[in-house]
Amino acid sequence: MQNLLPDKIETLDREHWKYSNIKAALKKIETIEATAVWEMTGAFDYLVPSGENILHINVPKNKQIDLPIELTFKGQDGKRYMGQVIIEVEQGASVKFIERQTGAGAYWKNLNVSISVSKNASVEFYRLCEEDPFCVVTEFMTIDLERDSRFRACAINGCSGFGRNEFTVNIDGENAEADLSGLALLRGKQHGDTTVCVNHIKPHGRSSQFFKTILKDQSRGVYQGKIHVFKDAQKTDGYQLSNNLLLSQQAEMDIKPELEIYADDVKCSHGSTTGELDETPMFYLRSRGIPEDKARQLLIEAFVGEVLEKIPCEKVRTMFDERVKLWLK
Amino acid sequence: MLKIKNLTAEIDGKQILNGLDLEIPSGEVHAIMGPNGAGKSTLSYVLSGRDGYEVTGGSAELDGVDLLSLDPNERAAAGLFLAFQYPVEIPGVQMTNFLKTALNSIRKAKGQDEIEALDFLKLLKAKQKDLGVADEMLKRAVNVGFSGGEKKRNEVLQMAMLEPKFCILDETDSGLDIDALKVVADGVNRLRAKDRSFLVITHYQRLLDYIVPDVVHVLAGGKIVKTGGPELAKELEAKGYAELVA
Repeated sequence: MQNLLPDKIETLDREHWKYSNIKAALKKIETIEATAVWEMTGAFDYLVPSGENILHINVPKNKQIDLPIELTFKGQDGKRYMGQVIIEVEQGASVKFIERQTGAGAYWKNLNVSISVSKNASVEFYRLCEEDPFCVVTEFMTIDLERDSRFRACAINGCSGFGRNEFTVNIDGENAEADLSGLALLRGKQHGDTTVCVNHIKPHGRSSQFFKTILKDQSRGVYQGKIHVFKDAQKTDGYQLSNNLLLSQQAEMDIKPELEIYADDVKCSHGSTTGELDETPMFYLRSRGIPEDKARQLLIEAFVGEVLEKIPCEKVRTMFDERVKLWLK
Repeated sequence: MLKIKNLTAEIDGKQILNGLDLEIPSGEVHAIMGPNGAGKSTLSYVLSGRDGYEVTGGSAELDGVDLLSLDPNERAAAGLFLAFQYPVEIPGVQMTNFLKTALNSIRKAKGQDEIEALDFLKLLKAKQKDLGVADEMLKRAVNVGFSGGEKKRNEVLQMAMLEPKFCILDETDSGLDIDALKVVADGVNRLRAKDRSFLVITHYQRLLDYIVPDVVHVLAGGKIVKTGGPELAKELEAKGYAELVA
């Protein structure tokens, strides 16, 4: 687990933080330590008593929870939160989460989220981040997958001032599956970093990373995606794609895809694109009478639509779609 | 009535159109034939306002409206329609939504109200039936996964929905087998009307067996070098362009 306490910032691995200057971001804001408090819907029956700053949820064996459990965290000006979330999903259980991050002012949220998914269990985790443009948010999610389990995450980042959203997925059981997708919507001088590492430790695992970024103004996006296939993880199927849309000449996107493969019978692919809106579809739409603004809007909605389509839960998809459309306006 | 006078245009500093004159009265179908590199596609892009095609002189008016000063979408609202040689695939933009947005954009530009959802569906249903376009095709993204024939039929469907005054068919026959060609040509013929004119751009005479033109022009070296009746197309097919271009 990452340890991002204020006094440990100096010791951060430089290569891993090359594109995201957390030190500079934290220097801009002044914060005092405060207790991390979550608002929750649907979680009460599954809470495990725990210490301050820790939210602990346990979903018992074979329990099927249909309605998403909602966890909301509101940041306040001048505060610093060091929160921890522990989610244990026992064998055969199935659960969905919506994590909402909001707030007002200059604050720092540093969250460690660990999710363990037992044999044959299934977790969907949807993250909607609509933070204050002056805040710093660092969130480190670690997911441990046992045999035959499934994990799906979609993170919509309508971003903070400085955001680092990190996923570490450990496929530590045979035939487990992780499907990660996300959309970062950046404007102004926002900085949005998505860093993913999928460790395929056991054989027959499947993983997919599908992340997109839209950058306006002078915003800066970072995507670092790694697929690490261990020696024993034969028949691994790993996929990674990053598509990024630059809507301004001043915006910048840094991408670092990585494959590190020690097994010899695997299928892994990665790809990335970064560019402006294509001229050809733009001209096609305009030649049909659609004004430039509207044509851009259609093409941008189509761009984000590919990520939203990855959300099977209709309630969440509708909610995210509304938030994204609002951002695009 | 389309009136083009002494039109010159270039791409990347290279002159492609060299003083082209052309008049197409309402209700008429004119064909433009010509060898590769004659400027046929350039003419269609210049008229529809594509970026990168720079007009250096001359004029082009549709019913007195100066097309060259308008944005591509404004030209569409003025009644111009280009059926693309290679219709563009647009993943994520659904056909019905695209057609409705296009129709309403044009209506809005003309100062008309947006079409009621139900009226739109009725209109679409009727045009769809004429062209044999399946419902399933309209549920897909624009041109994505369409066969060559479906793409060209889709161009004609858009033409039927938007009811332009002047249509350019840019090598509509390319990539079509004879059956698909007939379906597309039938669709176009159904749209022939007193207040609508067509410019059919093609390499081959074959298309003109199905869409019979009133006038045939030969384009070479960026201007019209010969004009005649439908028989000119047959003559070209037999003799080739060499004689005319020389």
